[in-house]
Amino acid sequence: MSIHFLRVSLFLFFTLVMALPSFAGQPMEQIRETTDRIIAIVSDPVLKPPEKAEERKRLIRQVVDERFDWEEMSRRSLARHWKQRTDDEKKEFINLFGKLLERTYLEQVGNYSGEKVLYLNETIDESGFGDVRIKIITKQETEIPVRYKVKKNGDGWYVYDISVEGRSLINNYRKQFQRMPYKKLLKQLKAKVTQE
Amino acid sequence: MLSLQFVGKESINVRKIFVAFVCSVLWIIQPAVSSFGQPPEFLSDLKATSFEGQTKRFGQFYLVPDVDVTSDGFGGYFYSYKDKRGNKTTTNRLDSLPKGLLTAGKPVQVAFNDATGMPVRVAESQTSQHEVSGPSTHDESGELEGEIYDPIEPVNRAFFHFNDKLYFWVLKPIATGYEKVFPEPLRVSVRNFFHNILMPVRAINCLLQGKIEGFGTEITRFIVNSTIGICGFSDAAKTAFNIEKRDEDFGQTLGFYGLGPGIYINWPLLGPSSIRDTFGIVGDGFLNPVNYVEPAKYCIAIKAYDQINKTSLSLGQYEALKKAAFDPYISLREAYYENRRYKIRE
Repeated sequence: MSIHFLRVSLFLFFTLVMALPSFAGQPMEQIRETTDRIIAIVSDPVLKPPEKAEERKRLIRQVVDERFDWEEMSRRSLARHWKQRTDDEKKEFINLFGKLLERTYLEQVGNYSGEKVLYLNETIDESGFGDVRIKIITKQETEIPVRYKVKKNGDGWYVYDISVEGRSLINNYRKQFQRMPYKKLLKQLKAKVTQE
Repeated sequence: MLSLQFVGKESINVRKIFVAFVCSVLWIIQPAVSSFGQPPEFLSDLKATSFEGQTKRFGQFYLVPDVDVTSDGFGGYFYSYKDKRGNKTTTNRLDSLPKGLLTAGKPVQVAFNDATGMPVRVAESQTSQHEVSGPSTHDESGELEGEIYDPIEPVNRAFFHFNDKLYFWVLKPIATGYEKVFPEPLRVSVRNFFHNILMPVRAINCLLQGKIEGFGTEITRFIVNSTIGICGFSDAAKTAFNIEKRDEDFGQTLGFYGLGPGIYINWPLLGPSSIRDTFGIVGDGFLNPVNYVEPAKYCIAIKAYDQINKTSLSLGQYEALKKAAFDPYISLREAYYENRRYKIRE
């Protein structure tokens, strides 16, 4: 009886211990999955030729869209401008700004040539925010620490900011937007998105 | 206010002028004032909490001593707040704040209505500790912290423009030509060589910050790389022994001991810097062996070569920054500021 009890409790204990890391490992796992998918696309020889460039972009965009929270990024970048926008204006901005960020991201990963990605650690707080730290090792042996800031929505963790060596993407945009009138900002954003 | 008593009650005009003066000074030193009457910009960074049936955001703030003077002038308030790391920043102007708790220098907690952005509740810090989460960890990276003070922006912008042209007209063409001729592994080796001879800068600054382990690491790396790594051309310490380099300089040492960046300076040729980091560059100059090369023209030539080699390894990065930016000057300034802060904390 007591042996049986011991066995059951041991079993429960180990299954719990085994289960915990995978539960805690959520945001990092999701970032890893997204990154792996992007690396698979950019290093796919079938998609390498220039005539496949559009197809390749579309595929990356799809993956990135699933992991990035464009609305949260827009809200945090616009800060004080955000509250004065109507719902339609917000939608318009999210769409355009998302496109700009996406393009910047695409241009960066487009140059991918076998860089290694190390997954360091993650932190989650109970209010649904998290942090995933990774390190990119370039071909030139330089190490670039990158930090993804993620927000929970349902089962998924969505990226709302990326910091590279302490430089936050969203902070940088916010500081630029802060002193600009919204009209000028929007005009410039439209011009940026349409220019290739 | 001491100075108000000094002015005297009867000389109303003098007093008015004084108040106007104080206000204008505050106005000048407050870049944030441009958002007159707006909900504070940092608000979106505070964690939203459901409290008393409304969505509110909490933050802990320390009132600025001069807050009552400002309210006399234009009916607004400034206050500064501290984050978990003790960095202090003065906020945007607010139009209303319950007057009763405005004791200068006293920490208070302010709850903001999420919809209007207006403060709805102010309490003394100790009384309601449990209600206040302050800036949550997801904002720890510093969204709540201020920006670098940039009073000489017009001059900086002129130098920024100069550096921009220097890059596109001189540095980039030379570096591109150099890149075409020399293969990347060779250029990486040259970079490693220049990195290796700067060991004294990193080692001494580790020591100055009390990072004894870092000091030892740097010395070990120097010995390994200068011998096995063939005069430092190969980073054998990293590749063979996995000894990480320590990136320390005197600007970081000064920052480590709490010195702020002062003001932002965009130097011609040198690029983004601050008062603190300019002192840092001068201090590190004594530890840079290249500076002891005589005559001076060789020293300059070596440095120019180092710069061209470095640029050849980072071609396209500046272009990417410019392409993504709405105001490249501010983008570069913030990138510099945040990167320095990151390095000091590390």
